Amino acid sequence: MSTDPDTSGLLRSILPPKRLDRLFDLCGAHGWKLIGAGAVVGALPPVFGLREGYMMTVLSEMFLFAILALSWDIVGGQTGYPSFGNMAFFGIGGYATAILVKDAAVSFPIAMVGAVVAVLVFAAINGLIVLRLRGHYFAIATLGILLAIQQVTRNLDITGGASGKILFDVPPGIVFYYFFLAVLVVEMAVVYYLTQTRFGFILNAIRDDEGKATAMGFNTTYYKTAAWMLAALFTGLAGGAYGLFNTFLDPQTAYNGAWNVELIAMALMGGTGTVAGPVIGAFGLHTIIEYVESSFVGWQLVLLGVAIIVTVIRFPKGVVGTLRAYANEMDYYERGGMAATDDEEVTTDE
Amino acid sequence: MAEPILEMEHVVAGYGNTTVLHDVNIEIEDGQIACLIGPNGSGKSTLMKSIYGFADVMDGTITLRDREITGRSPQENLANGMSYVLQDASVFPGMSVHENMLMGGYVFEDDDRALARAEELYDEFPILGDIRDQQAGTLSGGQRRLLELARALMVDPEVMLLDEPSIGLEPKFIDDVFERIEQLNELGTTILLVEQNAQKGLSVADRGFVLASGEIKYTGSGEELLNDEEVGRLYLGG
Repeated sequence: MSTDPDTSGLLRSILPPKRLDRLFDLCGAHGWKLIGAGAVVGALPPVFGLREGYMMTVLSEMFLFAILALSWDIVGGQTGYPSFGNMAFFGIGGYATAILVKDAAVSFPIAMVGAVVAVLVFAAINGLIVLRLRGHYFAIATLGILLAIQQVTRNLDITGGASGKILFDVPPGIVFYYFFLAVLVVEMAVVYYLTQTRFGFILNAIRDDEGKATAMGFNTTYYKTAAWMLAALFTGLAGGAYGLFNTFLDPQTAYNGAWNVELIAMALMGGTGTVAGPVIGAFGLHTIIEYVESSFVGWQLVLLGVAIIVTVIRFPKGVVGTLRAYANEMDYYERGGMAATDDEEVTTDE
Repeated sequence: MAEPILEMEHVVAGYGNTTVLHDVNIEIEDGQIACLIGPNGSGKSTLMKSIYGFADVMDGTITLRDREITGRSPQENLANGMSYVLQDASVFPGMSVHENMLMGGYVFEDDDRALARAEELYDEFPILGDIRDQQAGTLSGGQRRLLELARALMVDPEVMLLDEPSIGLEPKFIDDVFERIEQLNELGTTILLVEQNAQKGLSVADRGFVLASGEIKYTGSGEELLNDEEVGRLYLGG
């Protein structure tokens, strides 16, 4: 049998799989430096004068969505538990901060600590319930929690009910720009570090097959709960700052179901189970959504739906996953994979 | 007669309200290879799962070297010196061979111990050492099964449970895998295997059990069961 993987000439002549594979290896070997470089680049626009206005808001929201997408991916991509309720953490973080700042008159940093505590307690309690479920049941249960917490918030006086909370005397936009950037950089560093530890490997093992992971002797409940709480922590931090950044919070904004779909789409488009994928997906999709929102008002959800359908059908592994598979494809043939049994001739022309 | 290492006495087991095993009694001696055969749906995998803590044991006792392990979790059983290779390919395809090996040793608190044990096993399984950086998803079926066996040895188990080690493999790989199972046994690991390829399984077994409808119907040495006309007619296609 002769196997010729060379089917799309131009891409292969410009960027052969081997070269891309080496590029991936290079990025893997210098991950810390790349995260550091990204942080420096992200910090530069205000230094060069971008301190307020539309672009500042758009960039801040890109960092915000990258945090949300990467947080979703800790559980949905790395652990294989796709949640449709991450925005519940966002809303609880947002309301906790808003209540503490507005009603208790505490400072922003202390309010953020309160928000983190509230979110972690909430995550621990509902994690014990929903993490017993798998697949569709888990997804539906998390969606149910999001809808329930939204309704509860709407019915409480302390949250301002359906009218929400208007927040005055908030820090300037540049504070939130750097806050979102800092949280994103820390989150990327944490996820990158974890992917190289036993914790990260065990999350991936749970994603691949939880039964096998249990047979290896792992207490999968512990690891799933830890991942769930880590995702809640970063999502809650983002939500805590967002209320003040937006100067207004109501149940529709805080527990935004469309955002929950957006952040999943971002992770899928960028590539789940990777560090860079959800961030790339967030930057890319948010840029497109901003363009559509400004140029084709009212069509952003249509675009989102189309983007998800196209991604799922054409690029189910996302940008990073598709490139990774392309870079790895020669391994399968060259290293005696299933197609390359001993008695078969394999051509590996490149 | 050698000391029994694994015993099931009057075990009734299944899942929730469904009973699959009815009053099962087996005894495996230290250093033996035991093979469990039987038709599809007879409860072979459930028997393995009830030993390892994946199925519910409703009645009876299971002992591992005089220590009762009935209803113990997989984590406890692994710590007690028993490992389990699940049916079908159970490697983690997105991880490298080396990462898969380490997964088998992460039950140790000390990562260095897992690394050292992996190196020991690469000496025993040189082919795995040669492809340690290769992604497990690109391995052939035989290589995957070899990786599963080596990974199960990371904890240096006294007893290894193997569920259908030949499933999905072509004949030449089946011979390789059984050769390796015999080598492991010679090194001191007691093995209980469930095997659909009954002829092959019984041919390497010191002890054989025939399970049907959740009950042990026949017991004997592997050779006795292979030569038993009734067993041959009903279960070996002879």
